[in-house]
Amino acid sequence: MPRLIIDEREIEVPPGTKVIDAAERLGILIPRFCYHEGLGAVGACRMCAVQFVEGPVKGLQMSCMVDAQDGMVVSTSHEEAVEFRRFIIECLMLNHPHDCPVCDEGGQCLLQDETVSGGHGLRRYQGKKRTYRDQYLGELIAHEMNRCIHCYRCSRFYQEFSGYRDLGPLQIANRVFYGRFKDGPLESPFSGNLVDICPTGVYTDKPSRYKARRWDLQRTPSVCIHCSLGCNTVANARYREVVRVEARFSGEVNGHFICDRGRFGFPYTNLPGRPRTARTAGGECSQGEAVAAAAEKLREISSTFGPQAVACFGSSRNSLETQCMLKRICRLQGWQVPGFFVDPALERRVRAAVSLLDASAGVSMREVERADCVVAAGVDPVNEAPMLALAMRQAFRRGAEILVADPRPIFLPFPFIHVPVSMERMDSFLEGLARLAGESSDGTGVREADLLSQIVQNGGLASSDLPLPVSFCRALFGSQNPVVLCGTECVRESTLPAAAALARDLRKGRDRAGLLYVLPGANAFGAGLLNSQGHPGFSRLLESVESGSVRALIVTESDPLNDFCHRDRLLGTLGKLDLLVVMDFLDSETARMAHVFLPTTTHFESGSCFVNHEGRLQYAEAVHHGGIPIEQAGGGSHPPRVYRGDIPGEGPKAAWVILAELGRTLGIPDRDLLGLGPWSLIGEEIPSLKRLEGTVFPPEGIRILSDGDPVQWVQGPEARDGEDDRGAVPPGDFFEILLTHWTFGTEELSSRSGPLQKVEKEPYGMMHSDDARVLGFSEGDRIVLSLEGGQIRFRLSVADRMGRGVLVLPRHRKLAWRNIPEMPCFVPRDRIRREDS
Amino acid sequence: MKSLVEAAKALAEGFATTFNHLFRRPVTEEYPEVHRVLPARTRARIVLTLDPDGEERCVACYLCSAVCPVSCISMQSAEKEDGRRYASWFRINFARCIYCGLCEEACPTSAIQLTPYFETCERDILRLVYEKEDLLVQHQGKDKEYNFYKVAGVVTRLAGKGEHAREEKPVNVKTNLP
Amino acid sequence: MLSDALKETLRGKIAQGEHPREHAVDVMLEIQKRCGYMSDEAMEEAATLLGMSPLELEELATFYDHIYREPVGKYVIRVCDSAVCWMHGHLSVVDHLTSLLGIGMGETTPDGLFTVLPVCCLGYCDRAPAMMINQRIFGQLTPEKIDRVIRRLREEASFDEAE
Repeated sequence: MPRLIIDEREIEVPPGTKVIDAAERLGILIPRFCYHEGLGAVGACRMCAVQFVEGPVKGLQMSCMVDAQDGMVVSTSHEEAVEFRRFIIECLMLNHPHDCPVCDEGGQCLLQDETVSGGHGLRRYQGKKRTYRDQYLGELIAHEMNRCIHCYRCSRFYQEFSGYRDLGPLQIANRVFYGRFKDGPLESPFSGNLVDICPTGVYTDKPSRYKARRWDLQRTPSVCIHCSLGCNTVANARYREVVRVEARFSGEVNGHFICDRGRFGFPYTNLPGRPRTARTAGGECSQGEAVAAAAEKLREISSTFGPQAVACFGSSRNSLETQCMLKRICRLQGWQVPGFFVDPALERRVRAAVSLLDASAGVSMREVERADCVVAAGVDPVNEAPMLALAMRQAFRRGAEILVADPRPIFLPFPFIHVPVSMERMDSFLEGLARLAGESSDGTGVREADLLSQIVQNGGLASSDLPLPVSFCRALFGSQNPVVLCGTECVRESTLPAAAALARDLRKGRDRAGLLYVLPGANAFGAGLLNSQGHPGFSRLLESVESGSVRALIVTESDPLNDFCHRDRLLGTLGKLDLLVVMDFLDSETARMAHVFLPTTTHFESGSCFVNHEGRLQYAEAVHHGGIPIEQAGGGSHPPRVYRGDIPGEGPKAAWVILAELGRTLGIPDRDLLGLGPWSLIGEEIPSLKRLEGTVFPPEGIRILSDGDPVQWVQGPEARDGEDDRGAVPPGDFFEILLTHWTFGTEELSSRSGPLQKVEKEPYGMMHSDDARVLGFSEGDRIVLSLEGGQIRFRLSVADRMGRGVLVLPRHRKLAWRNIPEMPCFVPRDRIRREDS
Repeated sequence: MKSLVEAAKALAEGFATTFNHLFRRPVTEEYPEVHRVLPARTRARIVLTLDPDGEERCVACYLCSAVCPVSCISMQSAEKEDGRRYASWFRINFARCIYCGLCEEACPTSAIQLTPYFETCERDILRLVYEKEDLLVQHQGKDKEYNFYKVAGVVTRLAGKGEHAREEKPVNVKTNLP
Repeated sequence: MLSDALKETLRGKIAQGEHPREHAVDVMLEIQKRCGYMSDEAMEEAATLLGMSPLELEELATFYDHIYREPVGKYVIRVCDSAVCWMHGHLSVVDHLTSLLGIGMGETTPDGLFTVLPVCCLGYCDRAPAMMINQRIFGQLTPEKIDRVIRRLREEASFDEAE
């Protein structure tokens, strides 16, 4: 461990640490532009020069390029270094335009800060400034090249770190330009990070253009809730409006970056149509009146039909507090056990995932980055959990072999092996890999021909589908730290234990083999924890409503009409209810059907806990108090000229608080509800979390799967109860429909974001080119799919690298996927035809 | 006797001074009948000026509101179709303003200026909250010359890339010249 | 844009390397030999052949001086402006050339025959000042020699055209 002295203070750092990082550990921030912890050092800007007074390196050197070594004595404030940095900043400012007042970076600009701290106040250079023409980079990022200081951070992030290839450095010397080949939207779904890493205002955030200065923003640590990864963010609000979301560093979760869905997905919380007042059948009313009306009706229903006539329904976007309060009230009132997923099979898959993860297997994204071999089964990272794709890319950059087994066409920003195994055969494919891994841990005993034939057999593949599986198997056997990734959205229930078994088998003879399930929703893990066997499943619930045994339904922050496949049936069923209570912050279709509607706050307005895919409990702090944004209150002009003591539109409360009020009105003492406080509430409902009570929340969250304390969270995946064994492919010539998520346009919250609606693609369906040829279809054809529920029309796109016999459709609002009666769905070929023009 | 004479003399002198002043021109001015012309740099009522082209100078950069020690300035920045940044609304609460002039000092475009006009009393305090239309004036104030968008380097209707003061022509990325 | 025959040649060239992108510069020089310069369409087609994104190829094309992204004349005159040539009257060579052709540095004559570009060192320092026209180098330049060369090239061009 090298020991060195920086500015007369001694520090010991791990070998390989750069001097600039060693200084940062002492709290000395050496000026820098090109150096970024996430991107590494290139020594391009010359700003971090320091004087090496004693030791193996002498003289003026760039602190980002020198490894800390024993005996170094470094001075950051040496006269020569200070003068050098002053000179560099003056040179960097030669061509910088005079536009700070109209630049959004102003106030959070590294160049501004360093110019001031470098002592460069007066411009001595009187020559002409170099200028550039800017490019149109899409609806998310604004480009202003005049401001560039050529630190190469953008192209290093864009090309090296994230693996996209449409933005980079052009030209040479004084004319270096960062941009695209031609104007056009950036292809990377991580492009928003350019805004964060650019040390000046070349790339600025377009949706929040000119909205606010950094110093005027209310900023709090938050958590992204647009997928199950739980990336750490900073929420920025001003004038009762969330203005911007930025990445927050988290060593274990997302590192320095976030995806564009997380960055630009927040506008649902500011929408003008967001409901802010409670409603009953009699029209708008106060929150208290609506709660009283709901309570009265609930009391009436449970006294007439019994408490089991009341059912509750949450979702995977509920905060953990809401989920726990919902379950608590149901238990105390004797109502039906709440459910969280409209698809019973998905519910079981989530439950299985939660029970199969334990501390020795579950891995964070950081650990995925460090894996040396990755097997992904039934998961499409860029579309389902974008940051996972970046984590996988970092593993690839460190030399990991990566295999994705999935019938869908998969794109990842790095080379990988795609094996288009059908969902049906996925388990046996994984079992095959596991068996092979078990047989030979060093790979030497494996005969290649055997391997190939076994995998082909297990995967039900044609051998032409298998590019390089043998080399992959060798890499898998030779790996020290393999990781198995598994999706939950499209896979069969049996795939989850198969993935866990593969991870378990890989762990034999190794220190570690990780397992990561991508879950459907920000708090799907919480839903899985709370979901005990008492819940009948959503289809059973609908049957009970149809038969009249369930009379009232309480829906908290959930929109079954958005998620459920068989839309017409659900509409009819909800219409039969005596009482439909909906609490939500979205103006959802289900909310519009409610007899009693109660507006709730988003996680930006009331802090909430979410448990991510690896069981990390993270707290998103409230960033503002809610209310109608000033921009809307003023109609674009100045705020209304009135005196008032309250906040307009501050009616909504957190869903769990409203639930507690409902419970109190129904006669539950307050000490059993809000009186518990959030920790006790969570501990009461999830006994295994009782040990966390009173814990101070660490910034990186609490990993609730702890080592040496194997907790059986829930019962293992329960035996199939007859209703659900629909995973088997029916005999005959059928297409399996896979309903998938897209990075933009399908996730419930971010699909309401105006900026993201501008970048999302028009929905299309995908099938294998061979299948299309048999059916006589070609790329771009308009296709009609006739189902019992109705027709689905879409444009066809064909691909070679995907499974045969599958039709992939996005859950896009512009595509009538809700006409699918239930999932999984198999359609005979004759139901798919080309639309006659 | 002597003291009596001295007392009478002092009295007479005093009265003489008073009497003399009856015929002098007064040095005080009768406010509000008489309005004294104050120096141009007197700090009172704040205005928003126009640039020499007659366009709003304010680019809503928020520097004045940041520097204001009593937080009496608030605004919202927005973008015009031609790329100009401007204030969609701009509000100064004169009930709070202490006329320190820091906003004028911070303003990078000479938009916000303090004028000598100080008679802003109102009976209704809400009328001391001035909106943008109340603050805008149709002249350049003390700075007749400055036109920020002619030097800023950002594209507006006024100038494109390379057309501002002291700018090279834009770099041609495809140029054959080394 | 690129002819099928040219594409076939390029594919053959690319196939020789371990990684297709090894031949990126060669492919661009080959296209330039046939088409004069790298147009946007040529860039896109070459990028597809090389398995690169157009931007990645553009990074190379704009970095290297001898790959032309803007149209050039039939004869590209590269005048050496290195120190030795400069001492031996590089400026007067440039002045003479530009007044003779009636164009500035980096420009092409209206008849599409000549483009004048600077180059830094042709390795002809012993015969300075020097210039290179397409692949041929001329040293010890004098106004008369330049006139002669240009006249010859004009004749050659009109001969080519007539044929």
